[in-house]
Amino acid sequence: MNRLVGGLTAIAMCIATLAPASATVVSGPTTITWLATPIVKLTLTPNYNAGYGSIKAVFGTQPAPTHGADAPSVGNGAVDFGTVLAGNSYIYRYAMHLNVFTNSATGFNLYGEGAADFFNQDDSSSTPVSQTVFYVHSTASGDSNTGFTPGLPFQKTAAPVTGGGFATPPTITYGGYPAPVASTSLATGDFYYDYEMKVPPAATAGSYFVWIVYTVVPQ
Amino acid sequence: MNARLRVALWIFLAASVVVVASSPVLASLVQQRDQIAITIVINVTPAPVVMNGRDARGSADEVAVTGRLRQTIVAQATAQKAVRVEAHVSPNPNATLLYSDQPIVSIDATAGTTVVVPCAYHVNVHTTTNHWQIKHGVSNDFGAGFVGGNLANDTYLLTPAPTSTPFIVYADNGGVWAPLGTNSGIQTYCVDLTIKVPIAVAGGAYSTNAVYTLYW
Repeated sequence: MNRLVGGLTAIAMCIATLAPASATVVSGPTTITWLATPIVKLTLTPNYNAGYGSIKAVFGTQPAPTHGADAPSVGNGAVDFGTVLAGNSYIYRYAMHLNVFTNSATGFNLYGEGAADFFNQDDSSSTPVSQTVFYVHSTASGDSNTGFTPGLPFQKTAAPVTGGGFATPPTITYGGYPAPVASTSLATGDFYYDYEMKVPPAATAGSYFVWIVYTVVPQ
Repeated sequence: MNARLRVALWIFLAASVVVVASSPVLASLVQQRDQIAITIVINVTPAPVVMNGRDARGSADEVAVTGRLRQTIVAQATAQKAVRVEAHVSPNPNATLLYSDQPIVSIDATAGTTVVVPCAYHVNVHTTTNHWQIKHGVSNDFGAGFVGGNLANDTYLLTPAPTSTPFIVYADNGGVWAPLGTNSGIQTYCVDLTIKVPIAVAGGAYSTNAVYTLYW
């Protein structure tokens, strides 16, 4: 904005200097162009509210949420469902809050994909992330979603992935982008999600993980 | 025991059976044994837009532009971060009591059209119990103007029915599932899906859950 004001002031001074005192007023189109450094900030907050955690899918009165040891406190750790049973479904409330800040005048797209399938560290088997981990729109507080609230699946990315071990957040290098999980014409936004897990009946016992990668791209 | 007393006893016995059979006591003996959900995702493409032939030129007001501000982003910037999702899976002896071969079914459809997916998924009951009942329905509507009843099913063991039946929506049906059938032992149902997408539905992904509940 300072640049804009400065530019306008400079133009006005030039006109004032060049114009004779008795000149007639001349009007015409003016185009002012300036360059802006792009700003794109993404903040992830897992377990973003008290009451976060996993609940078995049931209708009616909802059991109290629980979570695994890697989800130690509000705003920290992983989305850790804890112990789940093969063949059962769960919801994880208050899983992820994303805050996006850009200076894009035309908004942005938010992408969310699995870096890999849901991987069992104990026997190196895996289940398709698109059949196992889902996302559900939630709220900053007062979450009333259940394990039967309709969700949409995370897809396994088709783009090259770097890193992605249990302790190493991955990087996805996109050539083209998949369908966004959210899209807005605004420059900033807050997005709240619960996650759902459908554990396949044939899933082998063990400790599983997958990295969900979020990417913000201005439109 | 004289005949009159014998008749009275029979009447009493019959009345007792009727009362007990219709009572919550007996109903409570039938328990929900398992419940599963299959996610149904409908990827809707908007209906094609047709020109109506009217003049589409802009008004004079729209072209009376005498100045312009133009911001140019000097480079494409993105931001990327990741979160780890974890779980420890334990064996479940009842995991295959009631299960499906497809945890999720995705259907592409254009608004205003109807799509049929034969045998979109199977529902398997795997028990030695000789008399069980299964009920079904969808958990929610897809969205405003796109009700769950737009999804119909033809669920059968061997031979498809002549027509499909719209799913009942649990949330709109007083929290009651629709009976699907009674049977015994191991059975596999094939589920044909028919989705009718209203023409006014906007493009995007919509989902609901087809829920199956097993009782005996």
